[in-house]
Amino acid sequence: MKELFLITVFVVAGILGYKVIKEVPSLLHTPLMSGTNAISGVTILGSLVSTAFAVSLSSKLLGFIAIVLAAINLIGGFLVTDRMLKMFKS
Amino acid sequence: MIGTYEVISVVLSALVLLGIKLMSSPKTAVLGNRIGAIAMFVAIIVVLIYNGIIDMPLLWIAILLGGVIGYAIAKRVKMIEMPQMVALLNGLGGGASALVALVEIYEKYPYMTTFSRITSQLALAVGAITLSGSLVAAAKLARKISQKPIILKKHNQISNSILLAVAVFIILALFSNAANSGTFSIVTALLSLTYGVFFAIRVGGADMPITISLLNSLSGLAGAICGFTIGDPLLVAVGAIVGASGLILTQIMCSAMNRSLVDILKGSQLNNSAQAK
Repeated sequence: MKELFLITVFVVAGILGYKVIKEVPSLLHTPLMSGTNAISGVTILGSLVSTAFAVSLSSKLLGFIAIVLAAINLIGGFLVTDRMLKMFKS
Repeated sequence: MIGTYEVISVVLSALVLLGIKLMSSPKTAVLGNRIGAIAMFVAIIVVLIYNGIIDMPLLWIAILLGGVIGYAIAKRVKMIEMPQMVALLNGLGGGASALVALVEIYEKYPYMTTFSRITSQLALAVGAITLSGSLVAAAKLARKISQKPIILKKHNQISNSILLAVAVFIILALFSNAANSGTFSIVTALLSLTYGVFFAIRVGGADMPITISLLNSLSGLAGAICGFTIGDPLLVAVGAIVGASGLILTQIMCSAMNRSLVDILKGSQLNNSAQAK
């Protein structure tokens, strides 16, 4: 049941994500890619949960690395996008 | 099934959609990026509270460490190095998804449902492909690897065989005990990393942005599949949104450059003038 629910969420979110962009001026291709790339750091949510509940030390270590990588992806991604967009304004 | 967490997930997913929408228009792009960032920040806090893990120092140290590194490299990178920077960051996200899948496999495999077993293996494979593919893309853009397409003899056959082997090891892992599944998962990860290299190495430098966009879509997908394994609707939703919008952006970029995605991935050049030197 939970699985069916998650699959439904996946399909609906996928359709919405597919519909959300229609036209993008080519100037914005790279910043948009960079911005959505930052959001793909969302996997940090999974890293946090699985690291918190991991029992063995090696799992905790792997999970710790996962959180660090995802956080770099998130924070680096948003800042880089912000810098790119500011450049266009000036 | 539908509790507070699910409602918050819907709101945050809607914010992410709004952010992406605003980012596709010049006037609202800066705002869109910030809305995306805020939605992600709130999502982290919500997940920490919901799972009762907000007081674990280990998690905060990791977030802080990643944040400081992310901040430092984002401030230092030169504008001209941005494309490879995005590729690198994307690879890290894929790597994170693969590691989460590994942790889940190591920790919970004996008690996992078939659904979780399949999704954990898929997340591992897609995440690893994203990691190595993005790193190759970044190295090509930074000219650490030749920007010309590198096409080996029987390139197609080799990549397809690797992909087939990945599928075989995923199936083997599904039906094996915990110890063997760990070993098979490592093999799956290594094969997927190899596939990512074969995938990205034959794309020409000029076509690399489109490949990165596709890899970006893959890293969203890897996150969503991780969400299946963990059972987190918010991760599933946001991952799916990034995966799908990344795919449509890839199509838009292809048509803007008048290129077909298949040609790009095959490493075929439009003409000699389009070839990167």
